[in-house]
Amino acid sequence: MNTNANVSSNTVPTPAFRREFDDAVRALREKILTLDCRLAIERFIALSDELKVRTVPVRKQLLETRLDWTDDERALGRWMHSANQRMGNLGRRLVTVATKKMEEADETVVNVMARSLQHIGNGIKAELADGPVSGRDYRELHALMRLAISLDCAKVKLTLSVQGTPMSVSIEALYFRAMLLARFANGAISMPQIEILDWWIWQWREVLQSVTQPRGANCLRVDLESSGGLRLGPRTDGLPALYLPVEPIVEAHRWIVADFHAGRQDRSASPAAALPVAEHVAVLEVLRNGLSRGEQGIGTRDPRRPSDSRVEVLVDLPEIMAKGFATPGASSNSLLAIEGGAQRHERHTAIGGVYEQSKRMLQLCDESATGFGLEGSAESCRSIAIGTLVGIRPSPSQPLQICRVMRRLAGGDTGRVTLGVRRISSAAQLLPVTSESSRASSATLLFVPGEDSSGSQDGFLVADSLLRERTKFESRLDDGVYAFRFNRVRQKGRGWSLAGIEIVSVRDRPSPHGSLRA
Amino acid sequence: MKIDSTQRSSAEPLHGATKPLPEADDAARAVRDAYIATRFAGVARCGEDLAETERVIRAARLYFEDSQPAMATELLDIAIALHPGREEPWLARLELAFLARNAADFRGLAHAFKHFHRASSAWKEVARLGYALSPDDPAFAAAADSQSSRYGPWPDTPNWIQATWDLTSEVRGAEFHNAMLRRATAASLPQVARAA
Repeated sequence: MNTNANVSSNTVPTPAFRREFDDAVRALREKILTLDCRLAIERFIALSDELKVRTVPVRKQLLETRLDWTDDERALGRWMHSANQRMGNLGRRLVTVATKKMEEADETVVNVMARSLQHIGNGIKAELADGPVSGRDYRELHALMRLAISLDCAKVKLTLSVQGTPMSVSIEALYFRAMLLARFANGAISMPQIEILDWWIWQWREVLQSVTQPRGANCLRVDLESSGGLRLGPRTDGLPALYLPVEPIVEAHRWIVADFHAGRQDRSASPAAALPVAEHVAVLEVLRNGLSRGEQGIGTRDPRRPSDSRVEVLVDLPEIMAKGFATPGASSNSLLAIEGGAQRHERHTAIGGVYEQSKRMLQLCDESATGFGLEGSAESCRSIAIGTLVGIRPSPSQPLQICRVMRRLAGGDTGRVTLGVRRISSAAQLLPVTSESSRASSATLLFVPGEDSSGSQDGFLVADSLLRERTKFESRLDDGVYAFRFNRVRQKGRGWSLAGIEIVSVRDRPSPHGSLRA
Repeated sequence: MKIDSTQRSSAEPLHGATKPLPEADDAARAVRDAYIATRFAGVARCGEDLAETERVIRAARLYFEDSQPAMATELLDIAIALHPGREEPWLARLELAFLARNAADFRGLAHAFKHFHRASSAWKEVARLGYALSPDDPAFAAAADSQSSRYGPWPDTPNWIQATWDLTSEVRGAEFHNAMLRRATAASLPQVARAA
C-alpha cells in the first residue's frame, strides 16, 4: 500500500494514515469479486504487513502507559481493534472467493487464511481498548476453521511474522490462539496481561492441536456450527465438535512456573516479557482458574438485581480507612455519599459544590450475592484498575462494602467505564494496634472477619509494604491484649493484601470479677 | 520466557521438587525473588527466606487448609528445589500428596526423596504411606509387612506438616474473632439508637 511512505514505521500511525488504511481495506473489499485473485491476495498481504508493522509502536505505547489512557491512546486502541477485525473479515471473504475461483487452493490462500486468523486474534486483544463486548460472535473464526478443514490445511504450518520474529505455526493453532484470547479477554485481564498471555500462547503453539474426540472431562471444546466460543467439557448432544486437550496447556503452564522458579526470564524476548513479574503472576493465576473451572465457571454469574442509585466510591486502602468508617453525626464530609433516585437534589452551597468535586460518584447498576456492577465516567474511574480495592455503601442502611475490582471495561466512544466488583467483606472494622517495632506510636489496621466463627478465616487488609516487615502487633480488646502477626496472604490486589493472622499470645485477661489485671 | 516450552526435552522432570535448581546469577535471582515475593507475599520475600523450614511448612499447611493446595505444593516445591538438602519440606510435601490421595505425585516425590536422602530415617514411614497408595510399586514393597498388622483403609499419618495438636492458638483465634464481633456490635448500638 505504501501509505504515508515518508512516515517511519516506528512511529504511531497518524489519524490521516489510519483513514487512508481503512479506505484501502474498504476499496479492496468492494473489488474482491471482480479483481484478479492473485492481485487481491497480493494487496491483502501488503495491507496485512503494513498493519502489523504499524501497530507495533501502538502496542508498545499502550503497554508502557501506566496511567489511564488519553483520548488519543483510546482512539489508537480502538483503531487497532477495528482494523484487525476488518482485515480478518476481508481475509475470510478473500479465501472464500479464491477457493471458488481458483482450481486449487495454493499456499497463498493458506497464507491469507493464517493472516486472517492472526488479525482476528490481534483484534480480540485490542478489544480491551474498545469497550465491553456483549455477545461476541465467533462465526467469522469458525468459518475460517471450517474452510481450513474443508481444504485439508488445518494442520499445515507456515511462517508468520509475530512481533517482528518469524514463527512457524499451524492454521489450527492460530484459530485456537484467537479462541483462547477471546475466552480470557473479558475485562478481568488488563491490556498488559493479555499481551503476556498472548506471548505465552505463541510459545505453546505446538500444543494447540485439535482432536475430534474428548480426552477426559477436562477438555476445551468448539462447536464449529455455533456462534459461541471455547467451552469446557465434552459435547453432550451427540453432534461433532473440535476439542483442544487441556493437559498440554496445563503442562506448558507448569513450565512457565518452573522458569520463574529457576529465574529464567528473557526480558528482551518481547515487550510482554519485559513487563513486571507481578503481571506475569497475575496471568498465571487467571490461567490456572480458567483452565480448571467447569462449564459453570468463567461464563456464569450470580443472578443480578438491577439498581438505580449513585454511590460514592472510595479507592484504595488509605481512602477507605480514612473516609469509610466515620460515624454518622460526625462531619458529613467524611461520610460516604449516596444518592438514590428520589434523593437527588441540587447542591446549593458553594462549599458543597466544591466538595462534590473531590468525590467519586458512580452509578450502581446492579447487585448480586457476591458483588456489584458500577458505571462511571472515564475521569471518575481513572484511578480504578483491575485489582483495585474499593469501598462503597449501596444504601444508607447497609454497611460499607469493601470490594475488589474484578472487571474493568472502557466503553469505547461513550467514554463510560463499566466495573464489576466482588465483595471481600461487609463487616470490616478499624482496629487500633501497636506494633512491636514502634510500640510508642499506634497505628490502625483494617480487620476483615472470616465467615468461619473459629476465627481461622480472619484477616487484615494491609498495604503490601507492611507485609515486608514481620512485625508483631498488639491490640487491646474487652477480654485482653491480643498479640498477632501475619502468616500468609489469602488474596492480593493492587498495593494491598488480605493477610491471615496467627494469634501469638493473649495477656491482661480480665479477672473473674470483671476488672483488668495491671 | 527464553525457552520454548514445546521444545524441551521430555526427559527433563516435570516435578519442580525432583530437581534442585542450579546456582542462579544475579539477574536470575532477581527474577526468582520477585516471583516468590509476589506469589507468596507475607510468607517469603526471596529464595533465602525459603530456608526457614518451619515457617515455610506452616505456611504450606495453612494454604492447604485454606483450600489452596496448588499454593501449598508450589511453595514446598520451590523450597525443596532451592534447599534440597533439608528433609523437612520434602516430608511435608509427601504428606500433602498423601492427604490429597495423589498416588502418582506421591510416587514421584518418594523416588526423588530416596535419591536425595538415601540415609533418611523417615524412609520407612514414607514407604508405609506409599504402599497404602501404590501397593504395586516395588519401592514400597518392604512396607507390606507393617501394613498387614493394621486395620482400616489408611495408615496413620505422620505429622510432617506440623499440624499442631495443641489447640491453644486455635482457641485464641476464636476468642479474638468473638471479641472483635462484640466490639462491632458495641460500636453499632449508638448508631441504631440514633437512627431510632
